[in-house]
Amino acid sequence: MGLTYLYDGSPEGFLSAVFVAFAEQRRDAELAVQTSLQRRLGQVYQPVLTDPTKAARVQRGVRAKLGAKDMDWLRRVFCSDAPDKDTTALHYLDYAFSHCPVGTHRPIFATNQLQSVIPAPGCAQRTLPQPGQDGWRDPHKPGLDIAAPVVARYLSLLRQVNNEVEKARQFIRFSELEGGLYYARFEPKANVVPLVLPYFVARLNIQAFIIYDPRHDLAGLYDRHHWYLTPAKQAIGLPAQTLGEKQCAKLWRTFFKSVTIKQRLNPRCQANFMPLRFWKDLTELQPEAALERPVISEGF
Amino acid sequence: MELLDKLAILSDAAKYDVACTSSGVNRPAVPGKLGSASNAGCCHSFTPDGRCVTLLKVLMTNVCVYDCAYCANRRSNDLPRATFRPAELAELTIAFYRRNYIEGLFLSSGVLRDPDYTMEGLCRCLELLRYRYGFNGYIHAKAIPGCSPELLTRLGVLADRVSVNIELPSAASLARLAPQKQASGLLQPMHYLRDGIHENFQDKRLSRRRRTRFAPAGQSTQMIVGATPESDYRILTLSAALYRRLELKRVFFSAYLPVNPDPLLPDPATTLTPFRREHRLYQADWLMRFYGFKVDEIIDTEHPFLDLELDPKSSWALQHSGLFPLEINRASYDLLLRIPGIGLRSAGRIFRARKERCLDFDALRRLGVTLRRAQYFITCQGRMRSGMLYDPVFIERQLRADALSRAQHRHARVLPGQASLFGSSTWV
Repeated sequence: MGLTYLYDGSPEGFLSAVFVAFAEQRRDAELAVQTSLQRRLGQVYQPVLTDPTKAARVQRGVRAKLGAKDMDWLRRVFCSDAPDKDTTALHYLDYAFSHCPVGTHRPIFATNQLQSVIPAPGCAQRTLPQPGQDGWRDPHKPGLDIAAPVVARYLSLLRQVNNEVEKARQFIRFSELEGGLYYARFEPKANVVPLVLPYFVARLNIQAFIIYDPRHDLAGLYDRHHWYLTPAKQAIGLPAQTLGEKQCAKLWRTFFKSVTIKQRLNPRCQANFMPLRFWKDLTELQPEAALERPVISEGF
Repeated sequence: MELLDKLAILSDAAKYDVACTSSGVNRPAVPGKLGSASNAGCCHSFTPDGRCVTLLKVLMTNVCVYDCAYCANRRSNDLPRATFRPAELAELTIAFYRRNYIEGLFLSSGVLRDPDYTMEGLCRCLELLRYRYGFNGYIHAKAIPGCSPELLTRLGVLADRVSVNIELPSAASLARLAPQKQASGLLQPMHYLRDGIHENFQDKRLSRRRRTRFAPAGQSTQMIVGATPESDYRILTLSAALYRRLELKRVFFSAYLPVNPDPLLPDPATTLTPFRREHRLYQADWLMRFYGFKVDEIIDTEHPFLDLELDPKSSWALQHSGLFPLEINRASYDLLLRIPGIGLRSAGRIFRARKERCLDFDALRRLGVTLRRAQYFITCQGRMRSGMLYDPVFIERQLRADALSRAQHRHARVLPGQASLFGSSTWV
């Protein structure tokens, strides 16, 4: 019978569920968030309590056995909006742990090393690919089969999240509020605010700012010293836009208009690169009238 | 004049400059300074013509002493002229950067009084940005040919990328359309910049970081295509020579747009702007820079123009039909790169995945390899895709029909309905 572990939706809850699935030898199980559950006939559901020590052990294990890069991947995939992200991640971890732990020789895959030692009867000994040559494999770092269905799905989730991070870098638009605070509203298709916040904090370190993601109810704050993530469930009053802000947005719109070459209009190409779902928060694409009314304070 | 009007005039004047990229330099953020730069660059917006906006692309001034036939800002044109004050432009750049509108500044200029005077102005603006405002973002600056070497050095230290426009694909055309400029005069600063980059890089007394201080993102150039009779062969050999000898990072092409009526230029009423040709030239350029193609593999003197209907890689594959179909599990990486429709990423993924398993078409799909064009040229485990037969004549017909239908589709379709939510294209 199919088994589904239920967790509370938090990263720690997810890692605890992974821990339990490994501990109970049910790595083929599914994972689901308790609150957004669609029950299926014949499926067994087992809630998992969130336990920070278990979560920490999984993190340590992934880091030690698979490497820091894999831990970063896991963090990113968990930010995906795909409903199967947790199950995919569990199955990927199962695959990765059983196939390619770091620092161990893995005889099944490192075939070329074996062949060199024992030539088949009647065959000349094969010359092995040397380091740097086509076909060379470091026996200490067995490869990941990126075409295996589980891994391919996992990596495609990872790519989706990374693409969304790139979109955030491109299309987040700040506006200046009274008191020197910069505010941006951005609606990504994955929970990327935690992933882009360090980038903006480093780049714009001389200004305090807020990035607000209404879709995931999350706000990233930076006060010029530290950054914070906070759920944005209640409305918080924000200061009004500065006078300079209006002027600056107008300058930007003017620039945007005048660098367009009218003879080569290609709106489809534009929409391809800059998906329509972002347009409502882009300063340059607001109709002039929107300039006149105050923009902020909805929800947040 | 108000800043708004100046910006309108000077960005309109700069819009024909094509090199709007912010790539080629990795500079981490510095506490207390504004900005950072990443190797891949970042496009912040896309104008309705589909071109990306990554830098604040403006001229310092559109006043110009030259009278080049192809240029919108030529001296004899009657249009509003404006000049930025250095501080004004620096502040504007900072204000835009803080709002994440741009990745940095692209600064070019008409020639005001003489090259040295103009360059002095550019350098002053960039110095303000870098030193007074602590700007750590990307700067692309145009060097004005004919200026003194000291100013070029100053510019190279301030900017990430420096470029000199080579303007047209041959010295003869340059002499005809821009009689005040000389080909040797355009190449001279490019040589100087190349040597500057070398010298700085090889200076062993400097730390590794300081060694790449001089124009760390290299230099680039651009030329107008279609205003003069040069063939694609001539253009591509020229750009190959520029990459080889002057070690340029990029050569940009800009399809000639009629901006001035001039007896020396093609008649705007009868000639079409060669957008498609520009696109094919860029594809060929990519093949040379990333895919290991030589110029004479893409184009030769017998067929000096690229096929407009078919991309250069497909053309090459059809001319070398004996080589295909390639077995995806065995072909070397270099050959994988030569399969139409398979790019650097797909080739890399195939290369990596096939070490672990024997690939079939399902596996290719899972890897995210698009088969639209590649399916005609590959086999998996000795078999072509089901229903596919390797016949070069059939393939060529298919590829051409496919290209044609996509082109028609492109023109037939308008923006999807959602756009009307935000007012009917008021930004155009």
